[in-house]
Amino acid sequence: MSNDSHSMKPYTMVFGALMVLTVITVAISRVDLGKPMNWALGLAVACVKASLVVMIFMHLKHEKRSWLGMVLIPLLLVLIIVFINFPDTGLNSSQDGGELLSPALKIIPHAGRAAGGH
Amino acid sequence: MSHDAAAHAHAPGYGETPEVLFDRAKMGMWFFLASEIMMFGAFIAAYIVLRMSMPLEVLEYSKSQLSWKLALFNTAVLILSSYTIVRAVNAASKGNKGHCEDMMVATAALGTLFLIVKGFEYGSKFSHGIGPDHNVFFGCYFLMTGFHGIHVLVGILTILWGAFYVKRTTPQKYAYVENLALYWHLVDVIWIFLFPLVYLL
Repeated sequence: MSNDSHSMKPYTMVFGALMVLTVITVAISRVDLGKPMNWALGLAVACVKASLVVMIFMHLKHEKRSWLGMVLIPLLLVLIIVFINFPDTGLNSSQDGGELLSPALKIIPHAGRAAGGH
Repeated sequence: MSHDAAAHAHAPGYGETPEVLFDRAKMGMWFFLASEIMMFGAFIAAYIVLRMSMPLEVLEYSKSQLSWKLALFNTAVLILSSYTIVRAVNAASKGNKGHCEDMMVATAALGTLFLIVKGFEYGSKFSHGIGPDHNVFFGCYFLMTGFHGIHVLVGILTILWGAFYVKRTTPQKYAYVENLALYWHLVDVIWIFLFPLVYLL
């Protein structure tokens, strides 16, 4: 039992932390801090929870350092696929979507004109 | 060649000690999990982008149809099930087969509870006439939670199957318990992101 890798104690502590962080996630979302802040905090807490599970429960912390790449490279690809779409829809929808910076780009209507014009 | 063969004469093949085999099995699992991250990542990316271009009234209406309290309960159930499968792996590494088996069955039971709650949630949506074709938000909602639900179901079945073989496990050869646990934790991690993204934000 005194053997470090066989002790349940760190796992129990992580379990407690995950439960507390879940309550914190809900608490943050119930308070209106402005949309960007709510999103940033909500996703930050989710990232902390996910890191706890991956590093401690899945003990990636104790695996070869290079195995981190198997998690981080797919995550990088996911982030690329999210951000590469922002200029098209995300950042251009404050009128139609009512969420972010500038009015929506009207891409589709031109297709009709091009087809009819020739 | 002959030098190598002599060096590894005590083990079959090329240094295939139980530790090496264990490591390889785990590494294979991590590659599979990487592909899972990208699959769910693509769903989440589509959801974020579609959500940003969604008319506000559609978003507000759709969010008002969801119950974050049920989802919170389900989150707690999944985190608890992650903890029970950690206990199972820990017991297996100590050769405590009885406890390992109990904890794997407990994990499967918690997974089943998750699916039952999810079933009630889907049921109430369908009874209000809300399906995947209701609007773009619910299209994403059913795609993401549906695929996650399928993963939970597969996890339950494989963990129950694994619990059946715990008798043959030794402290050196419990790689499959470990790999089932890795899969189950990933399902938990995906839910950790879906919960705020779909129900809260």
